[in-house]
Amino acid sequence: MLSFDAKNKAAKMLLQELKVTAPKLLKESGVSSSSSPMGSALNNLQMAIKDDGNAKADSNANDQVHQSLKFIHASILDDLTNGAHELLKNNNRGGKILIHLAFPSEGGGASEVQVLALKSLSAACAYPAFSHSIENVLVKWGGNENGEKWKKKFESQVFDILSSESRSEDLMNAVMTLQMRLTLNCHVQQDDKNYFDESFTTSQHDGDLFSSDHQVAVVSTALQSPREECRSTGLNLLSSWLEPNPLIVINGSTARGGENDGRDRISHSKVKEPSDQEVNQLPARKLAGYRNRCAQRSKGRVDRSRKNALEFCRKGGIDGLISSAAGSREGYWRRECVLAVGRVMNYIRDETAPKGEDGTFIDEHTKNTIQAFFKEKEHELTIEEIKDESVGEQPDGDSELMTCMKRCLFATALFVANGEVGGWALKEMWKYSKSDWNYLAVSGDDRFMAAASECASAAAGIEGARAWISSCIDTPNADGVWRQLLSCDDKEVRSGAASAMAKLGLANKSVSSDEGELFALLEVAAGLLEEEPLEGALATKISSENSYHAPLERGIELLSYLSSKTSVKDEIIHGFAFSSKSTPAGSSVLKKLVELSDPISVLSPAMSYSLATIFTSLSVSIEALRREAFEGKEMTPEQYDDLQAMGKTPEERKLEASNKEIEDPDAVSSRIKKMVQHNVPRALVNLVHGGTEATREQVVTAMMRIACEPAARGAMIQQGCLSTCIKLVKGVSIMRYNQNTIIIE
Amino acid sequence: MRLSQHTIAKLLITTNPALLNTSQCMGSIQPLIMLVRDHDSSDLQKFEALLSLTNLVSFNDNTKQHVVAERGISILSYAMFSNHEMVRRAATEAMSNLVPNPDMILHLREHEKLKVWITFASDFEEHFECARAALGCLAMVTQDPQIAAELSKASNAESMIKSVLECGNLELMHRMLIIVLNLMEHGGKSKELIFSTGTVAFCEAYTQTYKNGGETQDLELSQSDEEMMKITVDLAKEVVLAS
Repeated sequence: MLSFDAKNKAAKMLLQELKVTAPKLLKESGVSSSSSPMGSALNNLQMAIKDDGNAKADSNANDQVHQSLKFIHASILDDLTNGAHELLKNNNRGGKILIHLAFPSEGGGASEVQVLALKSLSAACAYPAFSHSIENVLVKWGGNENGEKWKKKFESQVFDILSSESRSEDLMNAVMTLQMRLTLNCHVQQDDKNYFDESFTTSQHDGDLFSSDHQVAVVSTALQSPREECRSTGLNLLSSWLEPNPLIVINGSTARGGENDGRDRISHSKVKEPSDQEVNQLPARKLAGYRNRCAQRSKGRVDRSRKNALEFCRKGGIDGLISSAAGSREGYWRRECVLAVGRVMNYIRDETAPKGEDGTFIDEHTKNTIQAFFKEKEHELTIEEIKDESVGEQPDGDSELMTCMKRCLFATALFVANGEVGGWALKEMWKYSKSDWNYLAVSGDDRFMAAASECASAAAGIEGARAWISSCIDTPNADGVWRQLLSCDDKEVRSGAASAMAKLGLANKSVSSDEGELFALLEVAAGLLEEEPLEGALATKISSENSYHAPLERGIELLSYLSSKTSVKDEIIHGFAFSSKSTPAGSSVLKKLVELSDPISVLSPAMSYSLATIFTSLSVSIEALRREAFEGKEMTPEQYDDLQAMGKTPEERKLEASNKEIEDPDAVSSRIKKMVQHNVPRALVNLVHGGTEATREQVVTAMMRIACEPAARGAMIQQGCLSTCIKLVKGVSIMRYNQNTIIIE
Repeated sequence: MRLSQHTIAKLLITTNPALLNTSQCMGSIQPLIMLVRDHDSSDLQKFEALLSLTNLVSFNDNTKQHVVAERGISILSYAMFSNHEMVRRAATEAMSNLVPNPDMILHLREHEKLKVWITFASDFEEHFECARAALGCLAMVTQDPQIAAELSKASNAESMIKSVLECGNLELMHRMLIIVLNLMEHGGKSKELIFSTGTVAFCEAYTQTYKNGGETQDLELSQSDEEMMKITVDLAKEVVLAS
């Protein structure tokens, strides 16, 4: 009526009356006024559940609940903002319904309904306003306004779900994901509060949302679970609890998820971070205030993370992680756990600690944690030995190996976390390090040998521990140990040992001149390049994330170290291929390297860089490298040699001359031609896409060296080197066609 | 970035520009010019960039125009004064290949600029290849009446003509005789310059001595030089006829 006649007084009055009375009537009847599909689904849920929160026993009602929940979950995943807003309507009606379905008062509940409700809740909690509102709902759901009772109720419900063996894996994951989201949101609120100081009081909880006892218990229970997915989620929960900056975890999960529902546009924090330009333009007083607030916030973050990490250690969390790693036969899982322990140790560490009596900058908490771990393990071993002796039997080899392995894994984590701490722990705390390591290395069991080789690899990367691992090599049976590790059937073992060899070689800044050793290493590296199909449920996860390529990565690392030797270069160029008793000779190493550079295979930045380094080394002679090194210097290579020779005896000069590698320029030229035949220029072009600045530099160096050969220039232009160089110079965005996705970098 | 520019330079030294697509051909010019202009680039990098530019500008008028549009004339002129002989030679060759671009002609119409080219052409004893490139350029541009007029005004032109004609190198003589012919055709002061240098008398004597291939057998010339000899004799005849 108003659209026909805007001045119609009667229609205006009617509309006004409707606006006043309609919400009241709907509120009284308990039904949403929303006419949206999500509103209708919530109405269906509300009608289907009983007053106590459980679904009605009627099968039709159950179906209706199931369908409605599926729709709600899909809607939230499709459009988070709209979905969360729909749930928030009418005083968070949707949130309340979902909480009742997720944690039914009768217990048990229909597992599928519970899973869907929890999944919907955790998905919607990615929206900050909803997450904050759900905390208030949980407080009321607990039946007590002081915020303590609900916590206990919620924690006991979560713990029940996790500790019950009959519960489905989906349910466990969903409940942990919800806890993760709530924890992250709570941390964001705490950070905002610290930033805005006392004026910001929207959060009702000053401390953490969940008690540290609960968090540790949940993580420990998850880690002990036989289900791989559950263990992984437990580790993610630990990361979100301990990570100082929660926004890193939130943004990381948004980027990994690849959802296109505008999640990346959602602002989780109330702090609007100014750009560098805006910061530069701030007046002095405001700039000082801004810097002060930022410092306050980061101090709060570090303190919280440190406090949580210390709680985690005190309650035996580290032991749980190490036990989980030691008990697993999956190399992937062991590595994840070791990295998690490394991160925890980093969070504990106080970087402002003064220099101690022992000359290190390691704080007391870190020292105590390391001491406690190593002492406990020694203690365990002693008890076992006494117990075994009392019954007149030999010590149980497996349990002893397991204890050694735990110490070895913990040491690896310390090496990974911080070189100084690792070196200190090795020197001061791990008393029988050499014998423990040797015991594991010669055990003959892949799991223990993998731990030993991982430890060797990590130690070889740290200056303070290099002497130790070198001394392990120097022992009489060391040659046998290394050979055993390098020739082991298990890829993890081989890759760790090979990585250690490469790192030790690079640290000495010289490549072994023993031809036999070089070819043995080349054989190992070639073997590591051969991909083996992964097995089990974890394989699906790993392959979908494309994140685990440790053996392959180490194979490339070893090759990049070996490719500085002329004999190895010639072998690679002339079609060296991996062959063993079980597998016949496959494609050559060079072909494999070119295949790896293909855009389809997802490479880590380190792998891309190593590949580019290999190609760069293959396309140059040692003489050319020397000339390049002397470019711009006041001395020529010949003058330098003469100067060096002056201080040597004739015998030494003769020996040096006989050891000197002389490369025929024609050999370099023929190597380049072979490389072009194997499409190396195309591989280099592929490596530029998505590569880091350092990788690009290596790629361009390789291209320039290949272009020195006139016969290669045509093929290089054909394979896209010229266009790539032009784009690099002009800084034009390079588009990468990865399957069906176009990523603009 | 310099490494990428150097790679482009290396790739295009020996590559036939006709085999490149338009974007590759035009897109490489700017990086190459930037490399020549770069103060921190090495002589080798500059030299290779100049060789590639020489190669590219010889392809067609579009590449010449693109080099000019990238301020190539001033950058290459600057490179002609490099300390390194090979860089100077490559820059002179690249500039020569820019002819007959209108901007290059305008550049050479300036008296001071032309004098530099005459100096380069005269320096054949020390830097033969550089002088050959400069003479080649002058042989092409003297078809322009204004440049011819400017050349006849130049103080060092007379000595240049005399010394090059008497140098005994057939390649240089060939280029110089073309310049002489061009100047004769323009008439006026240009023709006067030729007469004042005694070029006509030299050409008469040259024709008389070596006409019909006579007296050449004692010189023990190679086949290519013999062909060049015939060409120079024919050109000398034309000069005599034009006078």
